[in-house]
Amino acid sequence: MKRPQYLNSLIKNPENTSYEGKDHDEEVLLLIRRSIVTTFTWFIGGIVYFVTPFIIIPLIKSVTYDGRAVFDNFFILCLIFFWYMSLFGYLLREFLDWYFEVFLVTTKKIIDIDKGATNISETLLTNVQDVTSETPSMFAQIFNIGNIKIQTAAETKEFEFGMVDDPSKVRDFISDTVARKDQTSHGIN
Amino acid sequence: MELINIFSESAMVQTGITVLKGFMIFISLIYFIYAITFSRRIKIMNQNLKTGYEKTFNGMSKFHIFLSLVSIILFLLSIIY
Repeated sequence: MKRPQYLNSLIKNPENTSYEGKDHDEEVLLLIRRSIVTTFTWFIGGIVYFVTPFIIIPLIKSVTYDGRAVFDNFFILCLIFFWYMSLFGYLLREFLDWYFEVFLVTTKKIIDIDKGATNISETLLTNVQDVTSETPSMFAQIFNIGNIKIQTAAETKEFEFGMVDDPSKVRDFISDTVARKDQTSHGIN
Repeated sequence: MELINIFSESAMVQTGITVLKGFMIFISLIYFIYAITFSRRIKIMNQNLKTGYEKTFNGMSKFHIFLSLVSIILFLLSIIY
């Protein structure tokens, strides 16, 4: 089964993707997102969250006073509703935090949109000096995920993006894009 | 001996349940405020990174707010009835 494009960690020439302040003659070449493997923690958290009422609710129901249940069924139903509503909120927040934390490579710039899309850094491709990929742990080696570090000559010295799929491919793509940009800006074709 | 009845065990249990229900209303009110704040955050996210799913995310966020409002109403009803 093919994974939907929006769940991919690396998307070349993403459709309908743009960022605040994008120029008319600028194109998004690559969108990088943390690997879907990193969503494992909140996926497990979600399962625990989902299963908890199956354990808690019978306990609440078993509380009796004078032979009668202390909590009426309607209140228990309200508790269940609140619990699953907050589960929905939790999964929505985690998904959106993952979805909106991206690294964009455009024909002009590199843009790092951090968690919650509230902290954004960008640098011109011509400022990029060095691109490094690293696969730090055995876990990362198993899934072929790693970090990308971009050294720049600009004020923000280093851009780092963690846990991306196929870091070597990403490093190569960014280096090639920077090289092409340098050639263009120096009039070499 | 009405005073004794007020402090009877069953009255205390009833008061405890009502306090718990009131506490749940308070929690769901806080959650409602969080849902609204989160909705604002989603708007900022959508503004900073434009994707083709803006309407879907906004819709989900509104649904989330609606659900939290329903939970407040349900807890209120659980106190009344």
